[in-house]
Amino acid sequence: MNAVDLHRKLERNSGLLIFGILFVSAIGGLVQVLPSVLQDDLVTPGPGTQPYGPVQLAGRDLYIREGCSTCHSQQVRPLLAEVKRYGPYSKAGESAYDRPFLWGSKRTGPDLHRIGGKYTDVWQRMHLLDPRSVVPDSIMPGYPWLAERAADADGSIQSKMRALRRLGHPYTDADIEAAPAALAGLKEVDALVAYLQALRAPPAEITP
Amino acid sequence: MAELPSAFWSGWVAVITVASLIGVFWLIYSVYFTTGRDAEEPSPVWDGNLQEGEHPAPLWWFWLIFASLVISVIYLMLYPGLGAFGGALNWSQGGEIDRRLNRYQTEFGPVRRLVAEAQLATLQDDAKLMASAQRIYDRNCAVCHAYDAGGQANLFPSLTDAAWQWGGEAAQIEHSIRHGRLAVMVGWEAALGEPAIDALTDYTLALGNGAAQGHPGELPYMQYCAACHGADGSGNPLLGAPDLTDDLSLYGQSPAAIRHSIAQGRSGEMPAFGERLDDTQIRLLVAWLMRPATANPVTGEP
Amino acid sequence: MADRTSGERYHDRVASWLTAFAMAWSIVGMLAGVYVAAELVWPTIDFGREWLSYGRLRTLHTNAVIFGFGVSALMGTAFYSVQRTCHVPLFAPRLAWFCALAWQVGVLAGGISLLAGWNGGKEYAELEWPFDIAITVVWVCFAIVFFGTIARRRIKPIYVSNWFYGGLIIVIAMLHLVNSLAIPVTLSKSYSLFAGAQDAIVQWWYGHNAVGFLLTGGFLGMLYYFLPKHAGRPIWSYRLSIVAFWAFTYSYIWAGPHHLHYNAVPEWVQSLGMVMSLVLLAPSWATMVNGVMTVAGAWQKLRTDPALKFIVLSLAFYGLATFEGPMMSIKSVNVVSHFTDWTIGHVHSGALGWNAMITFGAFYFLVPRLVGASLYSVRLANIHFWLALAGTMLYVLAMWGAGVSQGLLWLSLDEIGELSFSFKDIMASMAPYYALRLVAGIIFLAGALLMAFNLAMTGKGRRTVAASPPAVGVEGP
Repeated sequence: MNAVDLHRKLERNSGLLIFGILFVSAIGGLVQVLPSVLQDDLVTPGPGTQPYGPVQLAGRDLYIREGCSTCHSQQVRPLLAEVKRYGPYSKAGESAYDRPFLWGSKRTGPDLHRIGGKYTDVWQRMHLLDPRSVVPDSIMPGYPWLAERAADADGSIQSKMRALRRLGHPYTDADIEAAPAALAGLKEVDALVAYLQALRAPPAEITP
Repeated sequence: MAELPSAFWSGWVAVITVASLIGVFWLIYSVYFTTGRDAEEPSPVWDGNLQEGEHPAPLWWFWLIFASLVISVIYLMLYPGLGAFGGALNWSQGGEIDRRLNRYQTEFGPVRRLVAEAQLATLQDDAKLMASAQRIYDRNCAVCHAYDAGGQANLFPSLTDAAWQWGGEAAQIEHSIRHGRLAVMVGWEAALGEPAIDALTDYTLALGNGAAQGHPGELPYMQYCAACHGADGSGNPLLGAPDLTDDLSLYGQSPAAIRHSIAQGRSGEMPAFGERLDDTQIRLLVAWLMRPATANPVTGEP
Repeated sequence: MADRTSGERYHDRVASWLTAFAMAWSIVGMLAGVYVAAELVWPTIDFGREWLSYGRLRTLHTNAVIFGFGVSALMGTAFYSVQRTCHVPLFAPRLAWFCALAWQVGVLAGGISLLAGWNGGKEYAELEWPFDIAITVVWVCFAIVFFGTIARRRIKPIYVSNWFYGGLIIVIAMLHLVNSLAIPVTLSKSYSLFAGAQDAIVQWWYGHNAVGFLLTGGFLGMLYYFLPKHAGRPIWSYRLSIVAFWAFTYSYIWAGPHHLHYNAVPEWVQSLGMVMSLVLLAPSWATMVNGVMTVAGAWQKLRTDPALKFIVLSLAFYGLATFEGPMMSIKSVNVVSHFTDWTIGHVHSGALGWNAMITFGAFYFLVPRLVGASLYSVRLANIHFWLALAGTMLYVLAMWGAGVSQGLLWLSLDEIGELSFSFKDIMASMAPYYALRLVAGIIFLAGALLMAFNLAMTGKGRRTVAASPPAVGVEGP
């Protein structure tokens, strides 16, 4: 059998052609993706990595809603200059509770994986609502509407936590019970700031 | 990344990768160098003039893909790729950054130690070091304290004026950077009532004008405020209680702003940078912030 | 060969409408692109409105271009060419209409949902779960129409363009199904079944191959039909087509992890992603060579025929982008290029130079045939050609300049091991590049508007006779 005649068999039989394409295009995924998604230690929480609390979780969903990862990565690469600029490089275990992952692909603005604690809540809030009030040449958009709406306007925080619990996030009944109270009275901007402040290197990683 | 696939999946990865690469090579070799039945039949006509040509595939393309397959195999021998097989070079990205950090230590360690232990004046005299220091400032401090260090938003203090809420000595500034600061002033409106607040506001303004002697606000001031701000209003850097006799109030100099501070209280926070900055960087920042005749770093004007 | 007397006609109206929809989406998508480019120059022009905010509008831009413009153009040209290369009318023409229209409704509603902030958070798969289900339904129908037509073909061998269109349909289905796996919470919110590093590997397997099998493979199907058809010459080398197709289908699917170099995924995954990206250069260029050699000998047409000019230029950009891609996948190059505007430049040398231009070429060829009239203005089409070329070049150069300087400046250290530049200083130095990119986008958009006008006027001047030519071996009007 030579490959030309094999190909000629496929191009004369649409079922075989479909099968051939499926077979050949599946190989890469079977090798790279399948073993990876079955490998538990890629999503085993690292030391100090905790599931997001209700306020942070609500904030994270706002981060996704506003497309923050369009311009901000959350992935410090193990490169000298990057570790110098942002802090300890990112490990797989830190993202164990990230659905979806938000590592990003573009840095129009700086990486945010170690932004937590760098600035105060007050600054983060001002900066989110009107970036140019604190960084005059910033080209980041302002998000004034975040100050107007309740952080859990559609009351979905408990369903969110229950959905994540089904996926293995260790929320207790008490955690879920307490979630609405934790969000009561908070605006969207408060939740987003709480999420940003949670983006920190695990304690063990920080250089003294 | 220490995470490696288990023995089974490792074998799966290696075997399928190698087998499929061989398969692709066979496909290409076979298409190039065997006679198929296509040679016997003319190309069909699909749509008017749509046909397949009979030119052989060019040989240089064969060598192009051959070369890329060979490079792939060599790369997979040298570097991790075939499952848990780490490659002949035993390379890992964690290992690489460790090596680079070691090399960084060898290359820059001595000079950085010198900087960390140097006299401030020595650092301040070195224009290049001051340029480095300003970049450290730009990366860490400027978005709050402003790029000209002049402070902003009546929330983030100026670092160029004479007022240092937590003390302007080198050790005090270093402490502020390294450990951060948390300033809390309680609000007095509920406890004292409006008339007393008005009197205190007026007294504070009078302190600024040096006309506080015999002022009706003096009594409540001595009772409630002097413990932190001092009997003469000059403040206490140990507590972060600002000097009230100058005209450099962080939250604004207007009667309304001062009244607000007294009535509602204030809280200010400076985050700790001791985990983000090393000794060299903190020393450079202190030197830069304390450089003599603090010229405006952006415009160069005093 | 089939029966000439059956009187069957090709179903071309559905292809005509898809062409019009694709044109409309290209303008919507590019307009959104130009607007977000302007927002990077003047950040306050979102006027504090959520739906004009960069994060939402940029997502609309990519989705309108890929799924509105790209898929409509691919579906339209696939429906047009599969009938002619199989010598039968479309299988299940009503289902074809359903595909065409449901897709438009889906993209429109999806676009609105993106502006409303429904966002799954995965790049190029931002649409939330209700849309993921809708996409699956339409895609299955697309597959039924396409493969149904092929199954009923009256010519034994399946033509090469249909291999690529077939690859598009099959592989995108596979990627979409796996990457969209999620647990719904509310109508507008779901959580990915995969987390963290695993999600990253799945997402870039999807993300890279949406580029691979939709923006590359699908459009190669378009190329393999329209280029030889228009040049009036056979595809240069059948054997090169064979190796190109199979090597392409095999190697592209592995290349995703080059988006995760030096990220927190295992090294072995990154390495396989890198070597397969290098291998990919060869099959990519095989098609370029096949295309260029097919046109060789019909060069005289290039002087006068705007459609062929677009197609040949698209081949040049295709060759450039598929060379640049493997280079950027080399880890040491990727250290500099990753996270920078270089990636944006690379994507646009593909999206503008290759996808848009090949489609423009195909449409300039196709629309006069579909409506049965000659092109309204060749002169306008020529002006469009130069606008498209200038816009693409300027765009790509601006983003190369921006990206390479970002990448190098971010990494640079001074004499005492401190970073040489603050992020903000580097960002501020991007302003001229971003302004140039905006100009480039406007130029390219202006060309597309000219084209829309030109094609609309062509449609107005159509003959009153039925446009569908009879099926089976008879040339169109």
